[in-house]
Amino acid sequence: MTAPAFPGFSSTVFIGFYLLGLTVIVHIFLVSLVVGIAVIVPFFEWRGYRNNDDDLLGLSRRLFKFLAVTDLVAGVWATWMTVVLACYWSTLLFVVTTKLFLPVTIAIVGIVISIPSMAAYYYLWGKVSRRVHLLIGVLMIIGTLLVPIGMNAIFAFIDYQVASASAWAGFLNPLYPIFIIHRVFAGIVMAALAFSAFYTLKLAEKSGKADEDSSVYLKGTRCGLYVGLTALVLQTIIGMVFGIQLMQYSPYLASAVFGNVFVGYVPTYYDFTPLFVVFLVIVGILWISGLYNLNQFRRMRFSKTASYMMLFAAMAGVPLMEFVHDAARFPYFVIVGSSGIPASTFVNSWMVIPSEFAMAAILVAGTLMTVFVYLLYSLFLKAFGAKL
Amino acid sequence: MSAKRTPLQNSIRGLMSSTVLLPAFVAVFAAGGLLPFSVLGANVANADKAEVITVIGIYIHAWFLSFALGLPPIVLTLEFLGIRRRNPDYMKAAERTSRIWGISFAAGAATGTLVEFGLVQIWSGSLIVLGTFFFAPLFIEVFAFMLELVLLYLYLFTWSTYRYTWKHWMFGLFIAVGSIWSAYQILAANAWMNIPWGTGDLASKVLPWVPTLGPNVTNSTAMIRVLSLLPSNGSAVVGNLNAMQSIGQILTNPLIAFSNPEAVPLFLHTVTASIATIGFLASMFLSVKYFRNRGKREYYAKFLKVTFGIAAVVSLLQPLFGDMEGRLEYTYMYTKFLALEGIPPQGGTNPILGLLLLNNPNHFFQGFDYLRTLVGSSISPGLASYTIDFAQQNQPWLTTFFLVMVVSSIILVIFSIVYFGLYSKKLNRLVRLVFRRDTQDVLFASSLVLPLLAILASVFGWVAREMGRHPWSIYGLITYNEIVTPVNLTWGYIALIVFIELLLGVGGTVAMYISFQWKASDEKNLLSEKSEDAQQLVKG
Repeated sequence: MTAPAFPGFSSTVFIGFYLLGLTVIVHIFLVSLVVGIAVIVPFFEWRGYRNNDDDLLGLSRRLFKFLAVTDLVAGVWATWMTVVLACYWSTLLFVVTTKLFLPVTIAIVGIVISIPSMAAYYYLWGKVSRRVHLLIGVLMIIGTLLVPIGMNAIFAFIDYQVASASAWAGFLNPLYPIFIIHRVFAGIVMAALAFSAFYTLKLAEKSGKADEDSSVYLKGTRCGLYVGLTALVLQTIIGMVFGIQLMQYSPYLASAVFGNVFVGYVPTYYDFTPLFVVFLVIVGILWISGLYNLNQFRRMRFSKTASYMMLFAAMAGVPLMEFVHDAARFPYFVIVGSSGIPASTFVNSWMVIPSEFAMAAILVAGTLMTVFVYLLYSLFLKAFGAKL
Repeated sequence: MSAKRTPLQNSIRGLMSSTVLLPAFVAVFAAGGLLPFSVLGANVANADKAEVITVIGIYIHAWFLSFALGLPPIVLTLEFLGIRRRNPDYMKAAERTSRIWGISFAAGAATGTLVEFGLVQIWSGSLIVLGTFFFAPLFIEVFAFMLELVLLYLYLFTWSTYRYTWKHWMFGLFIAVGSIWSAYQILAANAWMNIPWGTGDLASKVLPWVPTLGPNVTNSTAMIRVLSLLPSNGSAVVGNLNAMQSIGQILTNPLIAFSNPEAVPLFLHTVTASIATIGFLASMFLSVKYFRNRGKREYYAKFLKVTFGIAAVVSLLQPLFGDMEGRLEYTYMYTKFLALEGIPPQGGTNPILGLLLLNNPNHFFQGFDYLRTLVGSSISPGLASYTIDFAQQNQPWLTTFFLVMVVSSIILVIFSIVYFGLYSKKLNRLVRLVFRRDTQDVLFASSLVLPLLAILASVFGWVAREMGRHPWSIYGLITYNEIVTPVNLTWGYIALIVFIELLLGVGGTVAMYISFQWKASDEKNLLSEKSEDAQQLVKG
């Protein structure tokens, strides 16, 4: 079987697709961390109060500082993503904000709840009662989760559309429930195993010499492993279900990602199977390194190699699969069964967009983000180094 | 936890409680079917509802942005003095003030998200403009936003790491550059909504009194097709893929918004107004502290000198920028000009205006009646008449708003001149003669009132500016009901969004207030013996 005739596209389509892809992948990578940590932090705080565990409380507070910085950077990329959508993909944005008015509104409400509740959570720690502070934490979780709850209706929509005029159509999409669960658990796996690896590395550096921070590191390693591996078990099952649903409802995308190994394969323009195989390898590394670290932890041993592997695998999985999921649809934007609506249909055709804009965007984003990550995170690690 | 709480803490608790109710609100609205969303065509009722959200959202956003624009000069001056004189008082004050800067920025970002989504979701028809005339201003604005954000966190978190260093000060300076750059980009877009530069004589075809708006850098055929599709289809036309693809290229010069003659004057006028407002507001804060705690006179005086000084300098520039704006209104937005200046319908003379605008005090300004004689030559006489009728009917309001702004500004300018009595003996004598008080005392006392006047001037200035353009979203080209979302907005939805907006406004303001609490013990420790200017002020 051969792929259908290639729909026409201009350099604007390619540049717009590339810019949008860049902003989406970076944003999703960061928000996955945000979602994961925002759920974990109040949970640890609650457990800490319940068990009178000061180490867990300390861990929760330290993780929160990382959350605040990461959320800020994620916010910048979200703004850029919206501007790229508005400027390059104006028609698509109109379709999405009109057809999915309710989900988008819910996401905005989530953003607006999460930012102030995060600030309140930080500034009011120790200044209000435990109960009130935990309540703010719950609010933070709700606000943070409302964002993917709303926005993932868009991702589900561009994979499969429900023929319904209902305001709730976005949520009636059969791909949506598994999509949202998959996203949230990805965040939890990513955040929990990454910080567990970080703390294991800290412990490995100490080579058995205990100090005042060691108990927090141990707590971080333990909690991260237990939470992360439990979520990984669920995420593996959820991932398989998601794959099966994708085959059923979005055969073009499934074919482009999984190749011709399943029934119902349709010809695609590009084959992303090799990258999917890489992803499976990453998941394998995550499993092996995670279980190995757990085993070592029980013997009070800390492996640097396994921790580096776990850190890498935890951080690499989400952006890689986001790239595969987003890029595999090209040259279509909205997938409709075994075909789709070409990206060129949605691109801004009202103006010849100079490529200098895109180049400047990439240059500025690259430079500023490099400076930011280098300066800020290194400062954080220095300032709170022992504390992270 | 201590059981004793201040009224402020109680109010915060109340605020938090109301925040907790938010999900309940969402649930109630959803259960009651109050959320929108049967798709309708564009209509005025929908646009009127959307305006409620937009007006409140933009004002709350502007409130926080005023701090983001107005605080950098204060913080940077304080830090500059701190580094230059190795003075811990200035450094501490700069550090404390920078906290408000940080919080106002975060609140501005949160409200900005609402405004941004408001633009693309509630006013979804504006995507045509976003994809053309606003492309460059908004796209470049993200660079400025990124610059601000990257450096703001560095600036806020490195006070102890880089204390007394120019490196830290430079971080702050670049944030200020980012904020001002960002303001320019956004205001260039707003200026274009008032004067759609680069559309040639398109606007004058509908509103015959509008002159040619620069070179026509549009594809007239495509532009006219868009303008003819919008009234009948509303914003829904943007979602019509075939219609949108068939329109073709609308704009040939993506940078045209920057050539708008109003872009720079509006930017200067708005940014200096923000700096003045926040400068006076900071002076009020110091003044309240001073009157509550008179023993610390010299301590507060040294900071008042900075905050009031910055406000005074920019306030003195305001008449110049206001004059530039007025000339543009006279030339390009004549209906707004007539409504703001209170010119009678039959026309008339206004010696001050005539002198200022045309060097002729006897110049006769044509009124609304004259504009009506031009309506016949419009391709849309109904719309042209409506524009005149609206401006004329609302003239009493608009003139009042405008006068409030002008009178407030004049008072601010007078007290800005008084400020220089601190440096000029002659002026100080004059101040003593008029007020029977020393310049410094006059400044402390006047600071209790001046920020209110500055806020009044800003608020009414913008109300007059935006209301004076009604019903046009893009003056002479696109009306507001043509770009509102086709989704039916219910009052339940409006109430929910307004509630969130108000919550953000109050919450952000309370957070700024809390973060800026100066304790008496701090002041005692901070008062440095080295502070030369404080000694001079005491002597003076």
